[in-house]
Amino acid sequence: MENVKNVEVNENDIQKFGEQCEKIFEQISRDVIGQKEVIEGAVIAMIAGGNVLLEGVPGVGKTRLVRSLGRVFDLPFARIQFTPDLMPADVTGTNIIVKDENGNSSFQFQPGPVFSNIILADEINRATPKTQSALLEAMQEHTVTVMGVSRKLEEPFFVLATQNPVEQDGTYPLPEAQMDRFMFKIIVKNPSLDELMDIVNMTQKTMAEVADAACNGKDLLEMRKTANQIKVAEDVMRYAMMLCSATHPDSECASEAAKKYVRLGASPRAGQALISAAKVKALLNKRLNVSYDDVNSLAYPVLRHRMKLTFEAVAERVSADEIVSMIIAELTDKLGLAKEAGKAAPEEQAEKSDKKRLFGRK
Amino acid sequence: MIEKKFFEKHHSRMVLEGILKSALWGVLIGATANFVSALVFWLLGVGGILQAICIGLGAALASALALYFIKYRPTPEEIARRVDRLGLQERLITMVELQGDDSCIARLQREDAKARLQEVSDQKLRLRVSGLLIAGVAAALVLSGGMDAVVKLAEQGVIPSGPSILDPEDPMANYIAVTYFVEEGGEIQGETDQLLLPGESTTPVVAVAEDGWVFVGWDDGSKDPERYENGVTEELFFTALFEEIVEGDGENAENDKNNNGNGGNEEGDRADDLPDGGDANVESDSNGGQGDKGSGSGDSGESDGAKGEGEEEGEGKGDGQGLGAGGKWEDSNQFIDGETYYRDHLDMYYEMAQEIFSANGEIPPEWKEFFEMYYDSL
Repeated sequence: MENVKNVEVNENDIQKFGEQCEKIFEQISRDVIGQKEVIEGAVIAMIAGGNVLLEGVPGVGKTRLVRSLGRVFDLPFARIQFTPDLMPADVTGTNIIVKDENGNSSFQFQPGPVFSNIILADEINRATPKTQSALLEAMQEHTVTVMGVSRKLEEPFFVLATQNPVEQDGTYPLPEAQMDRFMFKIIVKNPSLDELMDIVNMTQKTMAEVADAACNGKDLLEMRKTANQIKVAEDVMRYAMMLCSATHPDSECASEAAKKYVRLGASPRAGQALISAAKVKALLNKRLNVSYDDVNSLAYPVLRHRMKLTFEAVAERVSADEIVSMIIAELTDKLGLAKEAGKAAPEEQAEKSDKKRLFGRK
Repeated sequence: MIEKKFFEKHHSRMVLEGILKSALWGVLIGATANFVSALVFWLLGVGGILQAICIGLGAALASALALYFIKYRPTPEEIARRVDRLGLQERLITMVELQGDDSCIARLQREDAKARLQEVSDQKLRLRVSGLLIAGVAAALVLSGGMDAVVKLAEQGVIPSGPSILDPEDPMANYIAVTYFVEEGGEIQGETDQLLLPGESTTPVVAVAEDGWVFVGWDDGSKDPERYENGVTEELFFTALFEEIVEGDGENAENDKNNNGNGGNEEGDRADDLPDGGDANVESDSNGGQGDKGSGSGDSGESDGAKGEGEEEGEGKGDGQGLGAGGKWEDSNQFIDGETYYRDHLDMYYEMAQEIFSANGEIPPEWKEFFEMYYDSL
């Protein structure tokens, strides 16, 4: 995002944004059956410049989705299979001794897989915290420091990580600092029956990924720039910040749900992510302003992994998504933002039907 | 800048809502002011329903105007927020905020907002008034109306006023006392202390003399021992007066007679001439009626008594009243036949008897019989 300059966009940029998004979704759907909300979330995060953590049981298409994204955006793609014995240098790269023609030895930096535009950190929670931490700098600053030398990563840069929520043996839960660096945590659910049939039918023909490039890295940066120009009304901005702040049990606008179920709330990065993503989502919906609905629908992937729940929440099996729902309901009621019954615009009604499924919300 | 006509219909709707809310709050405040002022008026016993209503109306008008211009007059931002809730997804509030922005995206956003606004009828913007406010207004109106009714009823004296409740008076304060006293020599039969409301009448009482005493009248001049007061309007006190019957010689009798008016003398002379003057010592009651009729003195009875004594002693003094005097007042000795006063007859027979005696004649036997009958009756 730091490369995005606030150059005024024009009508063509907005039109181009819409066309490219259509192409992107079209191409991805050639490789990934269903998972509409997961795809949309991943695309939104990529346009907004955020990293994504995909959580799902094995075999639901997480890796395939990431590979498709790389192909669609026509960006160099690197896959890192995280294992307990994976070392930081295996991620970042390291200096190796090389001999020149004269036989003199010298250190030469051998870039690791992180030096790519799209990184698939597969089963990221299987690596040790030390190795996991190797990605921290890359994820936030988009730089890698090895042996005291910082090297800038090529833009656009994304980390798309996956993790399995079930097999916890031999895994290392991601530290809070790293979790916070993921813009979204998207839950990848099992496909529906129809989707499953389509998946099987498709893979019986070929397992090859057939998605073509819909845009390139430069286009992606242009799209990000366009989205960044979307206006956010002060009311909406304040609401989004209140939403983030309400997750803190000790903040001035702490919600009752947070006081009871949250030990540690979302960081300021959550607010940044929420607004950046909401702008993209508004544009995806062919709207030039951010709405409360955009913020509400994105609150789940943005906040669910940023809240540290209390023992009470765990004991009562209250999920992070349920807590977010409670906070939204409480804020909506408090600020009197409830819509007048039966007055939803057609566009909004269509969005409503999708909202429940958005981003694999539980 | 946003064109006025852009929000015109919705603005009218919001203005209507603002006026409605202001009016309701104004009525609530006015009714409360009316209630409070009426309550104060009633408690203090000052002012009246008209003043309370004027205060209420003034408060209602002032508060409604103030609330409209301070709180409920819709601003473009408020209109935008409300219309956005009809499904415009914050397009309008964003547009209002961007009204000074001439960038391409602001312009496009404005066009988008305008296009979407056309799809939303202003009739969908329902007038939102809190049910609690309506209930509050209804309650305040009922209370203030009730309090006004209380003030009005208190003004008309149907219900007690506030001060009389806060500082209750003696419940007997409105009653009037009528008291009958008695000095020595008798008693009053009946209620001597009577409490009456203005305009009421007392129950009758009767002054009864003890033995050796005679009732001579009331201190207000009334001679009737039985009395009652009609239409009492003020506190009254009456004292029954009795006189002791004094048994003495002729001089005493003479003194008494002299004190009892002219008639006494006249009748005393007659007594001297009675054929059975010695019998005149028989006690004979005299009363006010007798005094009124004859000598105009109620004291004649006692004089008669004295005369009787005198007769017995042969002094022949006394007065005519002695015929009926010297005794207790009784109904039986007041009238002969219930209508004719005994002394009228006695006088007549007495004069005739005197003429007969002066002519050395004898009185007819029927006269004797009359006199005997009279004395027997005593």
